[in-house]
Amino acid sequence: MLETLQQAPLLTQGLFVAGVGLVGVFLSLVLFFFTIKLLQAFKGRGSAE
Amino acid sequence: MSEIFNELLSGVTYFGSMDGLRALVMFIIAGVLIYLAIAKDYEPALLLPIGFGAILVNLPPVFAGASAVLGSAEEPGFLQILYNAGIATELFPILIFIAVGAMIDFSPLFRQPVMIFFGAAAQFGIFATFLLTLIILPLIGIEGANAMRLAAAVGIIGAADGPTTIYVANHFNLKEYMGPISVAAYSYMSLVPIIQPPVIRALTSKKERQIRMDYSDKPVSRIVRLLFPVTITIIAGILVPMSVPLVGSLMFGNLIRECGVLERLSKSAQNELANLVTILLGLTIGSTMVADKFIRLETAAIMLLGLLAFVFDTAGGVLFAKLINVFLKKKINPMIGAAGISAFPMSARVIQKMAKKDDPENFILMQAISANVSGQLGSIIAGGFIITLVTWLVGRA
Repeated sequence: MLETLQQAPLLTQGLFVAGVGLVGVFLSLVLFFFTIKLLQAFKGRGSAE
Repeated sequence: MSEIFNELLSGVTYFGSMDGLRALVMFIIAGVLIYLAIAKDYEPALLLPIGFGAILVNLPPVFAGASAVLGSAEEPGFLQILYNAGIATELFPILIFIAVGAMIDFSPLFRQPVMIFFGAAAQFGIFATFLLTLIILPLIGIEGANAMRLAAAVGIIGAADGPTTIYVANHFNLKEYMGPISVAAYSYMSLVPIIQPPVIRALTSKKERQIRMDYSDKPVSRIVRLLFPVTITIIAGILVPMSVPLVGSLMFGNLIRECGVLERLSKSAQNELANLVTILLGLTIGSTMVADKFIRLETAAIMLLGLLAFVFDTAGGVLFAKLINVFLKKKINPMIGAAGISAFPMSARVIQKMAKKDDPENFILMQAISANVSGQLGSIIAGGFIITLVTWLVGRA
């Protein structure tokens, strides 16, 4: 798969990077969102500001 | 005797040569940067050192073609030493991130975690510009793997985050393009109040800009503040290992801030470290603006594409907000989407100013700041992805 992409035309490679990159950023931040939600479950145990 | 005389006047006669005329053009460009810094207060901490560095490197050469501040391979000048130590090693951007991490308060994001999605949407400009650059570069003679690497660095100007931009450009050994890429990144960051409003106005109606949003100033647990930087570093390290130097240093700075027992270190990171590295970073970036590498078609292309990256980012954020409004009963002010770029806190202030203009009693600053700090995270992750994917496909060079 990687070898095929490495030999693909420049624009195809670009579309791959842009597509995977944008989806990757979204998924990462979705994970961060749930991380914050999870951490907030500890709220009661920490001292509030 | 005449040889001695010629040698003594070589600096004066230099400006009669083609190289000398190019140097004069660079002095004008440097003068504009210094003017913007002093007279317009546009990112003065960076544009002024960059402008002055550009003057230093374009003074008459002492060594074969290079000014005294760059020196030769055997005897590097002080700016070359700083470049080798701080940019080529990626040290300066990392140190800046520790300082930035110590300055950022993530509390508004903890109060409205949903705003984090705007930090992703506003990275659209990075990838759109990356693709556009890939189409344009072959037209000016840059093709193949080099085009892919340069497109990555030009696209990341849309991160609206100077250190990330420098980090990516350096990762792909794009020293000869470092000047225009950095100047584009920092000057457009300072021009956010001019770039964003027309794009936002073009994509939103007055009614949409008048949407009010609730904000609860509820307290944030200390344990959330403490665990957030550690957890995010680990998750980012697992998902996008290439982003660890950036995410790790940002989160380390934030942990120093939030831990509550390192106040001196936190203040040092926010002040002394930030100030010292900013001076060195600015001067060193300026030293890459050597006339023969700066005055060329590629620089104009990079400056134009960098501007488009900011426009696409803004549009991506606003359009994403409008899209999710289709599914929401309680609408989001779509201008918040534009604050998802990383230019912190300038973008959030611009959004609040625009909101106030259309409705003097509308206060959406805290929501905009939530999106803005998310943009900081989003841009680093985007940088990590672009480095990883492009390195997979074409290598580092």
